[in-house]
Amino acid sequence: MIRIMIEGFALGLSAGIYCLGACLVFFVPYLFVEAKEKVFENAKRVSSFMAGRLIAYIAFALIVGFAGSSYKNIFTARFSHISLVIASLMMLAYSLVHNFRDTKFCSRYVDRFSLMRMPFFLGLFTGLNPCPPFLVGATRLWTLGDIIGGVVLFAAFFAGTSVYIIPLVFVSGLNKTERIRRIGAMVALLSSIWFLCVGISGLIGV
Amino acid sequence: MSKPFRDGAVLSIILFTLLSALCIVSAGHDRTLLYAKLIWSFTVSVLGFFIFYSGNISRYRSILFILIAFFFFLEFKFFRFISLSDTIAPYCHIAQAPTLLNFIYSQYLALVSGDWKVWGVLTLGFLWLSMIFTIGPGICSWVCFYGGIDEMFSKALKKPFYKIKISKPWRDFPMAFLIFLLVVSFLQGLPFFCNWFCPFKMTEAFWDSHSATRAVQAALFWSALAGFVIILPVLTKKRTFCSMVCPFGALASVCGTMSAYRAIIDGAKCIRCGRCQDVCPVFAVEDKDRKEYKISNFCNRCGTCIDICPVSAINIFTKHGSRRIPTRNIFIFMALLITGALSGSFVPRVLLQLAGVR
Repeated sequence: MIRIMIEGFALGLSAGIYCLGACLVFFVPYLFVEAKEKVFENAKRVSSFMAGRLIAYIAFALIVGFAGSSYKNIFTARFSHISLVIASLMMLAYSLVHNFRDTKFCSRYVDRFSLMRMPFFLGLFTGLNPCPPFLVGATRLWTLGDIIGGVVLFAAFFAGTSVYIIPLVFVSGLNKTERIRRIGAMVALLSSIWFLCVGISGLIGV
Repeated sequence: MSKPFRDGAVLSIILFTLLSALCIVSAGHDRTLLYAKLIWSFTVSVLGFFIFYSGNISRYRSILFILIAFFFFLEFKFFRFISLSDTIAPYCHIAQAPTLLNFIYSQYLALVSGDWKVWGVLTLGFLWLSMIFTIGPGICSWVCFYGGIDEMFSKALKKPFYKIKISKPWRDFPMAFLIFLLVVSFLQGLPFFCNWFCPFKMTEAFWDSHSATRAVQAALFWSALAGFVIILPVLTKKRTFCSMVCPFGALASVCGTMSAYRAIIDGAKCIRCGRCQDVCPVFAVEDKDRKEYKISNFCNRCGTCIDICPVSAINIFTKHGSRRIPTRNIFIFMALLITGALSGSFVPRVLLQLAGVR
């Protein structure tokens, strides 16, 4: 079991740099908009995001463990693309509301979006998106054939990839002005549109 | 002899001398090419003389700017239609901005692997960056060989058919677009902007092999070309591609803050007529408050606002502590020198080919 743990951690550590591009394309613009001056406040958001990812990983390991390898393609290809589409749609709605907050319609939803457990759900759905670290972890999972081993592998894998996410608690230093918050919301809008296209094209097999 | 005439003559003679020296070095033993280069340097210097002498920056700059874009497209984009041979693809500066992270990574790899050939080619990127540091976003209205295209279309009508105004937050859209492109290009290891959005690509290198993907690329390409480079500039008299899309413009506006030259409105002289805001082709004149205007860091130093101001309240300055030193002629000289040197690498070749010498 320790061997699996070390293996998962090493996998996460080596492939986790890609998290910076895959998950963080969603999460960093969100932090640009919502980050507070106090590091503690940001730590809460980052922890919430990481908790979402951890639950997504463990749930994935359990489902795969129970379902068995005959559903391999459904879980790694379909499931991850659906997850990406959901994460993109969430981010799209969030960024539209923030970019057009001056309009009557969107101003109604700004606070509601800020109150939502946005980082948690972002973590949940981006955790399963078809990024290289996830696919590497999933590939190893298929070869294990052990439910508990799978959960341990993915928990350790989560710890390895988290090394690249934890420094985000210090991102508050970047959004000192309203201008940067606005730019962050626009980046979120562009990223969500792009990843929505990637997710849909993955689902329809283009 | 009047002072503007004397100053203009002196500065343009110095400019021609420097450009000629560069021509002699770059032409090597090729006499024909040397003469073509000298003719082009002379043209740049004469236009420079008219700028210095008349005090009208935007008119003569615009002529030079559009001419460069015309020759550039003739050489590199339309060579298939008019069969100009012997073309060498240039290092595209617009592509450089959204792939800056990839570029820095390549430089790092070139350094650690000792591959100096790769390093040599990529150093052209540093050349562009050093130009941005020198004349700032002025590069977008003087040197850029794409900018002349939407500038040309923006000059098509005498008055704007439709007056367009962008809110301050949305003026930052190119900045957000640049950040997005930097991340996605680095992730994919590909020039994402060139593949999907660039309206100036006329090479097949960026088209995807999959037909559906290629159709989406083509739709984006034609809509960006028709919308931002042709239709919107014609209707609004604004350089919409440069101010709403171009990632290089966004990069130049950030790095350009290091440049010494700034266009500044003198609040004491300003009569708040708003003409500068109306004519600025890149939406760089912002409302500071209800009564005052401020030139943002998106300013391209094109000179349009300087020329239109009825009380000469706008000029180019260099800040030294709390003092403002007028450096308009120095900036124009630097801009012309860089423009002449860079355009001198391809315009003379086109001239020779059009004259049937090559």
